[in-house]
Amino acid sequence: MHTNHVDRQIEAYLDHQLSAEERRQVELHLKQCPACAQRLIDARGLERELGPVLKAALGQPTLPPHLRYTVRQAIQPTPRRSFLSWATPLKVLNALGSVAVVALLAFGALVVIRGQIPGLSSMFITTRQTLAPVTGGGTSEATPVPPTVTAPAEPESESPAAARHSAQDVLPKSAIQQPASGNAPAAGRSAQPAPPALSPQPAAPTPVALPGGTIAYPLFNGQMYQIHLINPDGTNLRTAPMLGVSEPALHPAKNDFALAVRSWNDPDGPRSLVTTDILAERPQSITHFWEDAQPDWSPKENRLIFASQRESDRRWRLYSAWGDGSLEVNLRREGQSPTFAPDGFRFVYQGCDETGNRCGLWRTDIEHSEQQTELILENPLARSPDWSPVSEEIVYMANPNGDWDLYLANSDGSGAHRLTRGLANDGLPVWSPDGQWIAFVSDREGAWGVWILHPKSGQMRRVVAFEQGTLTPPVRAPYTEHGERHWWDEQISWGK
Amino acid sequence: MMQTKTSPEQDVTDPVLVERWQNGDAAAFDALYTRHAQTIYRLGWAMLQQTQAAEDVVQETFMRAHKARHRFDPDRASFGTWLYQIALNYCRSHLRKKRLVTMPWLRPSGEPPELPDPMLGPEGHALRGEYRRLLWEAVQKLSNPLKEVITLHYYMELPAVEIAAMLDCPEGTIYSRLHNARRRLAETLSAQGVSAPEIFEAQNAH
Repeated sequence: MHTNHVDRQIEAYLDHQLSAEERRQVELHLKQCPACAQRLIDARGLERELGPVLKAALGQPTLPPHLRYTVRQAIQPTPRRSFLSWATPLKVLNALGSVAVVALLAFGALVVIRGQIPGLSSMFITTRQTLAPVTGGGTSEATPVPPTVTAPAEPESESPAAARHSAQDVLPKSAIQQPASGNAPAAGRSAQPAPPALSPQPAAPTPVALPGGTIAYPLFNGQMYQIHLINPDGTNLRTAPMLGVSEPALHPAKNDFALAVRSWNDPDGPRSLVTTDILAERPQSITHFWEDAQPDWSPKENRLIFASQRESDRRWRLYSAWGDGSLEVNLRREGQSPTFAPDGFRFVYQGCDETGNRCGLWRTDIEHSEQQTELILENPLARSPDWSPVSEEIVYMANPNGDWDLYLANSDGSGAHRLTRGLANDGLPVWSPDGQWIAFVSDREGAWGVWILHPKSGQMRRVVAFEQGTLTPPVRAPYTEHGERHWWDEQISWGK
Repeated sequence: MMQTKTSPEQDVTDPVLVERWQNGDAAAFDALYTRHAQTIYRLGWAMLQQTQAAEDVVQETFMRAHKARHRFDPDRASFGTWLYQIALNYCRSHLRKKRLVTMPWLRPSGEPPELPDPMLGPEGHALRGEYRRLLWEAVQKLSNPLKEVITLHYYMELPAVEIAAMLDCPEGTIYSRLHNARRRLAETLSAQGVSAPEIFEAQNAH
């Protein structure tokens, strides 16, 4: 009863509901009573943290622009004579000015966006929690040198099939392609602490040497986007000097002007796709629209392929441009996230046919994109494809079960299989320049960050946890001007 | 570019717009929609946690408001509060219809949870992250009415007096519900041996 009274006083104190005299008394009492002081600290902690916790956990959704139109339609058949003016478009346009036009256009764009990711809403109804308890070897040692994950640690994984049902969240390629290799039962018999049951090497769990190069990823730091660069072993974290840019693409081979970025809102710089040297001493605007996005370099020449919402209907379309801005080509094809083949000629992208009925990953080339394109993988929830720089393999992200996972398929769509599993979200995959590793973004182990995965062995480790910001920008122009923006609309890159 | 042009409706107050709307001015309705739809959408989203359901909340709220526009009394509540009331009632009946015992707070948005705070070191960030994770778990254990009031106050950032107007109860009731919710949370946390990191105090001192 006494504590209840104290609680109420503390609450009233926090809510500024006390008179000056009462406040003074409470403050005096707090000085003498450490338990009460701790209660105040706890209450303040709650008061201070509840808002951020709820906002972070529930998110800050944007009102879909098409709703205005729907609502207008809904109230239209009212019997009241005066409201028949809703049905006279000219009058409405007069009254509302450009707002109505924009809303109608945005409606069109939204149909496209929703058409491409129809399962989006179902994503929000899984049983996972973002702030869910951290499993396994947890938070404490996670940040600087995270543990390297290899094959399953449970001795009972006697066969690859059993292993697939275990709590393991990597599916090495070998497990699917060589289902009856002899090493697995051997590993099952020995009760070694960490038998590499799924590793291609039966003898010792020799970890694959870490790859080289530089991984680039964007983060929104509260004010603006910036590109962060890090070595795949987690060292040499640094920030690219250009401000207000995201969606980086590092050239797989060259060093000069090797970084292409989307520029959002640099007040002094160009607002378009920009190529630059990493030191950003000579940024060069190579296109003309701020809607130009998702660049990918040709592995062969100084050429980029990209997607843009620059047309007034805000549909995503594909374009190509030279890295010095000298020539731009309209590929005359709707789609997103294009990725060049090793030949720098063919490419794969995410999109739908004209009717919006068949969606997934499509393949064509820069000369014939207008005439023909082939649906290699029908899956409306396949996104962010990346074509290996050295082979005919494509890695992409998809969401069949309510969380994003990485998938690998051949460039004709055959042999598609899942690379990662578990309740975590894995996405935005990119190949290493040598085509042996895949970098991706994930919220596994309770924190968002960049991870790398060696698909042949299943070896996986965290490169960095995002501490300087988030992938998703706030709901405001220019970021959400053409529709909601999510973390999976970003991209990361891996260069030499 | 989209809406930088000042429309004539921008300087007009809600009551004036409502009156014009009641007299059949379509542009006034549109201006009211522009002002309030986003907030209603957020409320629907927080309560129901599904994109489609949140869209339905907006549509239903404005439809019901439109039907009942002549019954709106500016002396009893602000237009925003009135809309909130309609939206909240719709959310509640939606939950009832779906026989959902609790608000389906299952799937957070999947975003990285927080921005860095220059005042906190790496250790402070870790402490805060852990505290926030446990706090979120504790929030999910609250009963529906408490969750509701917490959402309205901390997520929607509505002052107690407005929540009281919305729920049609005395302001003191809201304070005591908020108090109850915070006490439950504090109890859950302290049962786990968690207390607010002292780092918060250092910040509060400023």
